[in-house]
Order: sequence, then C-alpha cells, then structure tokens
Amino acid sequence: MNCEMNELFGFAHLHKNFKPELARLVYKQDPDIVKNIATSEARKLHGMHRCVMREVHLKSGFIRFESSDHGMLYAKINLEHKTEDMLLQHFHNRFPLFHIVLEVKGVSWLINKSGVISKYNLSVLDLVKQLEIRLPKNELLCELDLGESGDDLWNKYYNSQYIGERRNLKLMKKMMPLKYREDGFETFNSRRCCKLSEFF
Amino acid sequence: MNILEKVKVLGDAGKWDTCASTASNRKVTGTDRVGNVAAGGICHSFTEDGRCVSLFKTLMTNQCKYDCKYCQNASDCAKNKVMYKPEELAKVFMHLYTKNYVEGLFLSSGVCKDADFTTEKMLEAVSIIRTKYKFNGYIHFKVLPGASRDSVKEASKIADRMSINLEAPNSSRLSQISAVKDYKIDILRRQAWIKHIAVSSGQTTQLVVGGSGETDLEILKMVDWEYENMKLRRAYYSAFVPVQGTELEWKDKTPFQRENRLYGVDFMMRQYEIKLNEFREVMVDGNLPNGDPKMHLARNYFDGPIDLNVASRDELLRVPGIGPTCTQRIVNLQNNGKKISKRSELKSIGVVLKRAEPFIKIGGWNQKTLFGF
Repeated sequence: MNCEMNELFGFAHLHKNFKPELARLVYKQDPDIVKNIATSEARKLHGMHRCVMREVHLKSGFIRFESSDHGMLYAKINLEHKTEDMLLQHFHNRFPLFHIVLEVKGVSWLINKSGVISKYNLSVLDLVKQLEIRLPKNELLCELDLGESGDDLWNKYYNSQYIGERRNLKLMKKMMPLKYREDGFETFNSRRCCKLSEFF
Repeated sequence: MNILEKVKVLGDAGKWDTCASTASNRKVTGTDRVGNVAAGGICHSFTEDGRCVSLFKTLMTNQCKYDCKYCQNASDCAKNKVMYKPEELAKVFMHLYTKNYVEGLFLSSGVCKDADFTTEKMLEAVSIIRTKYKFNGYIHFKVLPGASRDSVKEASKIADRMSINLEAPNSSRLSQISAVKDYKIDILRRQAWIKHIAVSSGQTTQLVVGGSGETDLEILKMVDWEYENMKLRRAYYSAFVPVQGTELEWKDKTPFQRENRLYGVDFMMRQYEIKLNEFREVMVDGNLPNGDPKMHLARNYFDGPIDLNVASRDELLRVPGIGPTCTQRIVNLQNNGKKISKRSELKSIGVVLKRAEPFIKIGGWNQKTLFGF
C-alpha cells in the first residue's frame, strides 16, 4: 500500500505549492478510494506529484550543457519546483566521468564524480573558473571540443529534421512549453513563421 | 564537403525514418563510461512539425543502389552524394550527446556498393562510439536490405534496437514502388534473424502509407502478423509525402489523418488486445472511416449505455475517453465494493467525460442526445 501511495504522491512535497495539510488529509481518506485518485484532494496531490515529475523529465531533455576542458558540464537553468537534486542525480548517472554544475536563481549546485552534491552562492561561471584552477584536463572533453563549428552543429542538424509538409506549430508548442525552454533555445526557428496570425 | 554540410545533408536524408523512441530497460552499471539509457525515454527537442527530436538520426551515406520510387536517396535521384568517415560520425555524435542535445544515435544508410560494405562502415562508426568514447547509451541500428547474417549478428552486439523497414504491406505492393527489393528475402528473412538474435529494445519496422495504393486492412493485417510472428515491438507509419526529384513526385500526398487512424488502431491492438476482426466490421472497402477509430468501434460494439459499476474490463476499454489506467482504477473500485455515483469522481479518476458520456451510465443516469430526447 505504501509503495502504491509513493508512486502516486511520492514527489508532491517538492512542488512549489505543496502544503503538508493536504497530504495529511489525503492520507486520512479511505485508501481504496485514494489509490484510485477518486477524490478531488487525491487528484490535487497526484497532480502536484506529476507536475514535479514532468519538470524533471522535460528539463533532463531540454537543458543544454557547456563543457569545460577540465571535466565539467555546466548550465544555467530556471526551475519552478525543488528539483535540483533529482536533476543532478540524473546527469550524474548519465555522465559519471564528469562534474556537473547547475545554476538555479544565482545559486550553483555541483555534483562531483563521486555523486556528492554541494551548494555554492556563486554564479556558474565563477564556480567553473575557480574549479578549473584545481581540476586536471579531461582528455575526452578536450577531444570532443569541435570549436566554432561545434556550436553550429546542432542548429544544422535540428533544421535538417523539419518536414515542411507536416508543419504543426500548435503541437510543437504543446510538447515544448516555453517555460521549460532555456534562453535562446531553438528560438531561431520562429523566423520560419509565414502567417501573421502565427506571429501573434 | 565540410562536416557541417555533411550533418545537414545526411540529417535531411534520414529525417523520414520516424522511430524516435529511446526507452530501454538495459541495465547500465560502472562509472567508467559516458551515457546511460532511460526506461521512459527522453525527448530533447521538437521540430515545427511537432515530431520529437531525441536521437541523432542520420544516414551513413545517401548513396543508394536501390530504386525506391518515393525515396530521395534512390539511385536515379541527382543529389549531393556524401558519406561520413566513421571517426567523423562518432565525434559529431559524441559532441551532441555530451551537450545533452540528443538521447542516442539512430543510424541508417543508403546501400552503397553492397549492403555488407555499408554495414561494415556503420559498424565501424558505432564501434568507435562504444569503445573509444565508452558510450553506454541508446543506439538504434538500421539493418539494410540484403545485409548478411554475420553483419546483422555483429550489429546486435552493439545496438539496443534494430529495425528494417517493410515499406509496403506485401510483396506485390512493394514491387509497385521498388523493382529491385525482394520482400521475402531482403526484408522478412532479415527480420526473422533479428527476432532470433533478440536485442534489448526489440525490433521495429516502418511502412509508407499510401505509397503503393494499399488499403488500411492490408497494412493492419501485415502488422498484426508481424506482432505475432516477428516479435515486433511496434510498427511506425509514415504518410506518403511526394519528394521533388523522385519518381512519385506527381502523386498526391496521403492525408495525415490516415496515419493517425492507423496509429490509433495499432495502439488498441497492442495495448487493449482488441483483435483486428473487430476493426474489420467498421471498415469501408478495407479502409478505416474518417474520425476516431475507437468512437466507431464503440458505436458498433455497444447497444446502449453501460453501467460503470458493473461493466467488465473489456467493455470499459472500449469506451472512448477511458484508457487502460482509468479502466484499471474503475475495476479496482468495483473489486473493493466502492460505487461511482458522481461525475466528479469519474473526472478525478481521469475519464474524459466529454467523450465517454454517451456510452456510460452514472448512478443509473446517462447523457441523452438531443435526437434521443
């Protein structure tokens, strides 16, 4: 039963509007009804849980890293909920050979190669600069640095994937809500808009 | 040609392959690696056509000896013909992956010289990615028609998912769009090999819808057979779009609604276990009627509104607006002796009332249509 409840409401407490009273109320209700989300309170709490999961899921796809030759991947991001830890853990599992740094609202979060998370009141660039002095060069990231052409690679590739006959901006906007995109992320494509109504 | 141009040309040539799934249950361990797989799959971007961009989907080369009439890479199409060097492809992919632009690699190719020569080049690129760069993430490897059993086996060692495109539902339809490919030998035999080898994320296939004048029934019959006999994980449908410079550039494009209907039926066959015969009853001349197939199926299946508190799982699954999760929740409530008596309860459970109401009774009442009134 606890396992089922965890699956439904486990991350609701990370939601920006989470209130412990709501969780207490839901946990007092008939478990058979609650685990099938058949009350408005359970639905609300489950909604919060899903909102948090959605942010983690979308952000883990939409964050774009800069790389440092000293074995660091870093990015400045915006988060609505308290999901820094989950995101850092996700990227640590993905890139265990590198240190990951994320800046959220002026605070930088670092997860090192051993998986230890620490928090610094510095901008991501300042923190990376300081760490670069101490960390050795990472051969793999040095080799993968493609210089200026590296920055254009994604733009070229992304634009090549578009099929004009299937144009469906509404679906794109639904799948990639503005609030989850980082600054400058794929915005160059809006230049392709050809109808005035789409501009507005 | 420089690397940026190659990325553009070969990315453009590979965009018609639609498999964007990256979900894998393969266990990734150890710390001396780059990359992992996610059980749910992650989308990294969406193009303006609404399709997910999660894989670095590219061709090894756009040179091809085959003559598929719908394809921009066909032998008689005059285009920039280029090929990646294996090292080049590996580096570009790893650059994109470490910046978190993509979730994995989707590697396909035109058939240059012969299938084994091209497959060898593809394998070389993937080997560099897996060994030199220690990449442990998702790779979808496209098997080329005519590839040898050994090369298919070799590919299975480094790929998460493998696929070979059917393109058409049967050999006579394929012969209308390609005179060189042999449906049974070049495609079905390779599918059988993949089935026996068994890769972690299974095999998939893709069909061009409307390219050879086939009906929905022909497509669904073939796909149904494939699910049964080839252990197909899923099929992808791609509505035919005429491409300039190809032999079929004069042909009208297939409406995307047809592709959507096929996806809908395919989903119901896989997830709801509804048999193809039920859909046959609502088809007109072998094609699905316009509109939502589930709605047509429900109109044909139900004599009147059903009481949710006593309805069976099979009945619930056939109600539009009720999916597998809601069905399970309603069945759980029935098993626990809890009765649903309000619309708000159904809404909380996740039922789409607007679609479901004509087919259900809540507390003995059902929504009347104006006609019924």
